Amino acid sequence: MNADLLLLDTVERLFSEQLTPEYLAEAERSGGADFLSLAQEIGLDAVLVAQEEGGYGGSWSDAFVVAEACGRYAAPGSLPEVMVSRGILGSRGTGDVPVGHVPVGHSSAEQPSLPLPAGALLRSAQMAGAAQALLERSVQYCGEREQFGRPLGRFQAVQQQLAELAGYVACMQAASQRAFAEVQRRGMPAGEEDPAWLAVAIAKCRCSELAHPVTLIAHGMHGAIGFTEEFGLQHFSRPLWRWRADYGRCSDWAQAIGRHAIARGPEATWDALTR
Amino acid sequence: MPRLNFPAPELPAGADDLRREVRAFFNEALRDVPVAERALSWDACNPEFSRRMGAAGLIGMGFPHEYGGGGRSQLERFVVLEECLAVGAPTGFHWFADRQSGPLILRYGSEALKQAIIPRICRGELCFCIGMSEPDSGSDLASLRTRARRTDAGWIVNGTKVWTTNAHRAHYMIALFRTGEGGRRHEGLSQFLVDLRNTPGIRIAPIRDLAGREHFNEVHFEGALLPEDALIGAENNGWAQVMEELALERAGPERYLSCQTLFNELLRVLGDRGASAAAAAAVGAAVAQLGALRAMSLSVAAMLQAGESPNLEAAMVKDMGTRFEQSIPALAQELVDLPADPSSDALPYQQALHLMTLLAPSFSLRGGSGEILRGIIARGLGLR
Ligand SMILES: Cc1cc2nc3c(=O)[nH]c(=O)nc-3n(C[C@H](O)[C@H](O)[C@H](O)COP(=O)(O)OP(=O)(O)OC[C@H]3O[C@@H](n4cnc5c(N)ncnc54)[C@H](O)[C@@H]3O)c2cc1C
Repeated sequence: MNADLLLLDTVERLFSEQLTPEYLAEAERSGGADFLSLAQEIGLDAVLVAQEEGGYGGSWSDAFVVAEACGRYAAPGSLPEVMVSRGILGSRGTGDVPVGHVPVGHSSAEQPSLPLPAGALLRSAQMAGAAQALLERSVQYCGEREQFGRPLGRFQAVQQQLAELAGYVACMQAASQRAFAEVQRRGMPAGEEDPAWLAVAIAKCRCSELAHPVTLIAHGMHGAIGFTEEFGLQHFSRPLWRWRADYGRCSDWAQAIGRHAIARGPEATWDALTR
Repeated sequence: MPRLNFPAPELPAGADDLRREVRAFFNEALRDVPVAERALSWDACNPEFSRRMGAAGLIGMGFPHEYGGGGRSQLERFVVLEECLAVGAPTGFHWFADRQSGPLILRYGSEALKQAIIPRICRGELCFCIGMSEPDSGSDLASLRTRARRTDAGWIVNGTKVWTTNAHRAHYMIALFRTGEGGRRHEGLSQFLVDLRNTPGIRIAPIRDLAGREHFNEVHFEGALLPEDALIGAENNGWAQVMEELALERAGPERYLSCQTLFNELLRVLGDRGASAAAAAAVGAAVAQLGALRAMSLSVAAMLQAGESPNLEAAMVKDMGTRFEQSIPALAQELVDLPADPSSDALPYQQALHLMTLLAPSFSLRGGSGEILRGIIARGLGLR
C-alpha cells in the first residue's frame, strides 16, 4: 500500500518550513495551537474524509504519512487526533466516539481522546516518526562531533549502537505501516475479535517497548548536550516517553496478544498473523 | 542519511489460494515427519521430502517457466517459504539451491547450464552447498586464499573451505576462489560451480557440532581440476556477485522463524497447562516481535520484486530476526517448567527445546555475524 506522493511532498514542505527549532521552542510555551489551523487551511485534518464530503479522500496509508511526519517534526497540537477522529466520524468532526471494549490505557490529558485501537494506531505512527528523527539526529551528530581526534561515528562501538538504533526504528516503521495498511484493508477494529486488531496491537506493543532503547541510545550518543533544553532532542524523546503509555502500554497489548495466542493455539495464531 | 521506509505491500491476488494449497499439502506430507526433524526445519535434510515438494511445484517458485520454475513473484514465493517454516517442513536439502544458487545460475550461468541444472533444482533433486568460509577467513571473507589457477586443461584448485553446510551430501558447491594476483583483496575473486561428486582431488570431512550432529564440513581441494566453464559470471567479479547473493540470503523469513516449531509447541503446552498473566505477556511480546519482523521481511521482498537492492534493510532483518529466534529457547525455559529431553517419548515440546537450545548460537553466525551486519548497517547510514 503506497501513500500519495503529492501528499508526502505537501506535508514535508509545510512541516519543514513551519516547524523550525525556534517555532518549536515557542510552541512549548504557547501550546502551538496555530499549527492546527495552518494544517487545516490545506486540508490535512481532512485527509481521511471522503471527497464528496469536502475531504481529501485519502487512505489510512496517507494518514500514516501525516501522523509519522507529526512525530518526526515534533508538530505541536492535536492535528493527528483531529485527523483520525474526522476519519472515523466523517465530516461531523469530533464528538461522541464509540469506544472499543478493550479495557486498557487512556490518552494524554490534553488531547481529545480516541477509541482505543484508533488511538493506539495513531500513536504508533507518531512514535515511529519521533524515533526516526532521533536516529537522523544521532547519525548527524556523531558525524560532526569529534573526540579522540576523530568523529564519534568513526568508532566501531558508536557505529554498532547506531546500527542497533536503526534496526529498532525500522521495526517501528514497518509494524506501524503494516497496521495502517491492515486498517485500510479490513476496517478499523472495535475490539479484539476484529481482523485488523492484531496488526494494531503488534504496532503499539512494539513501538511502546522500543521507545526505551531508542531514546536510551539516542541520548547516550549525544552526551550532555542532548540533555539540555536548548538542544531540542527532548522534542522527540519526551513525546516517546509519554506516548508509550498512551492507549495501552507494551505489557497491556502484549498480555492481550498472548492470551489470544495461548487460547487459540499455534495454527490459529499463525493464521491470524498471515491473513 | 536515507530515510527508513518499510511500506506494507499487498499480497498478489492468488496468494490466499496458494497459501491454502500449501497448507493442505503440508497437512498431508508432514504426517509422519517426527518433531525432531520439524524442529530443525530448514536445517533438516530429507531428500525424499524435497522431491515431494518439487513434484508439488513448491521449489523454484520464482524461477521462469521455461526452466521448470513456477514463474511466480517474490511475494508469492515469500508465502510458500513462510508456510514451510511455520510447520517445520524439512527443507534443508534444497534450501540453498532454491534461495541463492538457482538465482545465481539464472543470472550468470550459460544457457546450457541453466537447462541442465535449474529443472533439477525445481524437482527437488539437487543439493547445493556454499563454499565461502575458510580456516583463516570467516568474517574477513575477502582474505580467503583457496586459489583456482587457470591452465590449458582447466582450473586447478588448491586450498580448504570450512563450515560448508551439506557438502557431504551436496551435488554441487558454489565456491568463491582467488583467481587474480595482487591488487586489492576484493578484486581477484571468482565464483565457480564445483561438481562435488565427479571431481577427483576433493576430500570432504564432516565436522560434528556441539550437539553431535554432522551437517557442516571441511572441504579440501588438492589439485582438483575443474573444467574451463566451471567459472560462474565474470572472472574476478566474484565479490560483487557474492554481495548480491547475500542480500537474498539475509532478508528471508528463515531469519526469524528458525525456532517456530518450538514456539508452536510452547503455545500448545501453555494452552494445556494454563499461563499466568506474566507468561501471557511474555508470549504476546514474542508474537509482536514475530509480526513486526514479518512486516519488515515482507517489505524487503517487495523491494526485491521491484528490482531494488535493499542491502541495508536486509541486514536489519537478519540482525533483528536472528536475535529474536535466538531468544525463544530461553523464553520457553522461563515459562514452562519441563526439562529439555531428546528422547522420542518425551513431549514434542521437550524434544524441540533440546534441539533448539543447542542450535540457537549458530543463528547469528551463519550468513554473517551480528557485528558484521551492524557494520553493514552503519555503512548504509553513511558512517563508514
Ligand atoms: C551452523 C553454521 C553453518 C555455516 N555454514 C556455512 C556454509 O555453508 N558456508 C560457508 O561458507 N560458511 C558457513 N558458515 C560459516 C559462517 O559464515 C562464519 O561462521 C561466519 O562468517 C563468522 O566467521 P568465523 O566463524 O570465522 O568467526 P570470526 O570471523 O572469527 O568472528 C568471531 C567473532 O568476532 C567478531 N568479529 C570478527 N571480525 C570483527 C570485526 N571486524 N569487528 C567486530 N567484530 C568482529 C564476529 O562478529 C564474531 O562474533 C557456517 C557457520 C555456522 C555456525
